[in-house]
Amino acid sequence: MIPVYILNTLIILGIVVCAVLTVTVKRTLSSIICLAGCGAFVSLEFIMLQAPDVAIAEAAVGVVLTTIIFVVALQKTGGKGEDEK
Amino acid sequence: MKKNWKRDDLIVRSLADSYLPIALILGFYVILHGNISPGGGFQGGVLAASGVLLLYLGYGFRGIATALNMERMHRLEAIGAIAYVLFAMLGIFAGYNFCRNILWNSGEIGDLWSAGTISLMNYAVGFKVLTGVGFLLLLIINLLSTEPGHEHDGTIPTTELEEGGDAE
Repeated sequence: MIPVYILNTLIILGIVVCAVLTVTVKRTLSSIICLAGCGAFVSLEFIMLQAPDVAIAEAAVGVVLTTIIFVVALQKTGGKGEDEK
Repeated sequence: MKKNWKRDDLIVRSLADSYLPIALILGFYVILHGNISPGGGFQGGVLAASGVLLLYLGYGFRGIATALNMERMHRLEAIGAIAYVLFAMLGIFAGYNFCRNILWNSGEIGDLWSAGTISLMNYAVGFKVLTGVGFLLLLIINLLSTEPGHEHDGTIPTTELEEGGDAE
């Protein structure tokens, strides 16, 4: 079995990497996907901290709803961000 | 990135058809088991309300505008809030404090029906969040789709009508 602290460290590293990628990535769609990955890692971290209630809320709101709303808004506004015009 | 995304895609529509019952069943399961397992009214309501987004991804705004009624959802949300307050005030009517369970010994600990009126309040919260978040999503999608110049999402989701060429 993997020790718990190694798994915890990996999940926190995933959160940090996804958050940094969200800011630094050029394309807006990639940024949205990185934000969804950050939400998924945060949800896993909530499970590690034994709060499955908050994990369900984070997975439902932070991963599904905001991602689809962002993608739909991006599609409606022409599909290009500020940097790629 | 392509400028015009294809709205009437068969694969997207089939996947939306397949995942809609799963989302609804998972949401109602979480609402129903809110008193004995992780989750509750809010989480289950949001999970079930993501079915609105699946409908939108599959069928466009015209599809969900024919399937769902925004005025009725707005009224049902108010009914859910009123039901929550009424179920919570049953404790006051019975002589105790607000949000108090008044049905003791209504089941074994760990059963589905073991929480008395607390589970009824939980269902009311789930109903309110389901209709409220669904109304919110419909409002956002409606505001986004009334922008001029993006007429491609108003097509009726059958391929025969799409072949005809007039997408209104």
